[in-house]
Amino acid sequence: MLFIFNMSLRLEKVPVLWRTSCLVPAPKVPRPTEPNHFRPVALTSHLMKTMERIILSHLCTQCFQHHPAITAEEEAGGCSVCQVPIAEGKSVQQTVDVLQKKLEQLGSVKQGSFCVDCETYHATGNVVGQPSKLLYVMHNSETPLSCMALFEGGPYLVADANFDVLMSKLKSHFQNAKGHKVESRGSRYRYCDFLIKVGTVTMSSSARGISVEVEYCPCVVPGDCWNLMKEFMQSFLGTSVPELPSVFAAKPEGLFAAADCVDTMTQYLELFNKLRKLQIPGSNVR
Amino acid sequence: MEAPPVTVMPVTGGAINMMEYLLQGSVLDQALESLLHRLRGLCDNMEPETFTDHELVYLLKGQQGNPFILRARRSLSHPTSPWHLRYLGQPEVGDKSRHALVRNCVDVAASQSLPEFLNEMGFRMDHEFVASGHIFRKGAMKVVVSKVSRILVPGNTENTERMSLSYLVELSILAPAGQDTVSEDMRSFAEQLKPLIHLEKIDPSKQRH
Repeated sequence: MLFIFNMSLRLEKVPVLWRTSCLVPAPKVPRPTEPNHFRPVALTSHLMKTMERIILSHLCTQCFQHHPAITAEEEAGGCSVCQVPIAEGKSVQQTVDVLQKKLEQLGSVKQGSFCVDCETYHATGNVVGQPSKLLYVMHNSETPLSCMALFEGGPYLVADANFDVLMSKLKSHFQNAKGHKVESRGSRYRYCDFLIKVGTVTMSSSARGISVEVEYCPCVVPGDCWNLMKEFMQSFLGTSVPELPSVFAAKPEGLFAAADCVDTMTQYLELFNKLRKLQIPGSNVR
Repeated sequence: MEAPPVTVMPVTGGAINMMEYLLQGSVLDQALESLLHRLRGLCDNMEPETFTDHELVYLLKGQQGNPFILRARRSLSHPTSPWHLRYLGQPEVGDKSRHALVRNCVDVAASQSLPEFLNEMGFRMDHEFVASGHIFRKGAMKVVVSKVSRILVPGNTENTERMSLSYLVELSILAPAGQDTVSEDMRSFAEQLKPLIHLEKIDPSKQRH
């Protein structure tokens, strides 16, 4: 049998007899007397069924082992997201242009664009015992099939894009503060093993600041690559190089816990919240 | 509360409204093997999958109106797989001659932190159970034959007790809103399972809290 299966696969042919089925009428009623009282049941070749199951088991391990959105997109290299101050006497756009030029002079290659956005939901007070915390729902173009939901300082959830549809069903319990949507949009650069994203942070179409995300792709452990990342960032950020992100130091295993997409989004959230409060002092999100 | 008719809202906010078409029935334990045998013949030629899932039903109780229900399901046979979160809307009340129950359905895959996250949102677990059995497919149709067991100690999925001496059988299709012809396909498939099992349109309002 093994020989026949291998031959069939090598010749890329399925024997005609394997594709022939035997039709057996099965009775629908206890005492069938006419053709309508039977239903046709097709019995295909046992050899064909066996071969199909072998192929299916091989296909399943390739296709269905991991949910594409949750597992594959969760992995990220060591990542730092920082705010870059606007240069003296220059606009946001001009400062972004200067940064991009420095990256290009280093030898970075532009590879498309990126967008990270954050929507804010607050509890409507319709529910007894509902927390007064804000719920942030974030998207990252680097992981387009996923959506991240976070409570500040609280639990997070990584879900697929249908989570947004679910939030719209929950609108009587969680209201979307549409005016508070913040996003960072800009160009994406690749320099050797680094991925650099320089974005203009906007809220309600007004530019609030600049974000720079640097990811060192081969390594997921911040403790092992932070010095290398810092040295690289100095070459184009100069004195604006950030300190080690607090999100890594805050973990129980410290710097030697593997970083994931949630750490990146937590850093963006901290930056967005800082910029949200910066321009209009004393403003309250609620 | 009645949902607006299916044909009126095929798309909401950029996302296609998916509808679940459902027929349900049950078979006694003694008839299970015959049913599985028939399903193996009628359904797509693939190894029927067995599953063992743990489902938790969460409620978000508002000050008015019915509670918002979410169903969180995880596989006990594949513990590292993502959780499956499901929202099911009110059944469409439209054409009474429609053969299957139709309701809006939103499926979300979620990470392992789902139960903690739902609690933080204000959801509280109402009940949980373990379902195990077989899944068959025929084209877009899915047939699930499951044994439902209640959990005796909250959170302990090892210690369960069967709820009845029968298996629940569900025939369902997930299709975009407006494709009512799928219920015809379901009806003709259900005909082929008679007299072993009678799959019918159920009335969930009889199962309200």
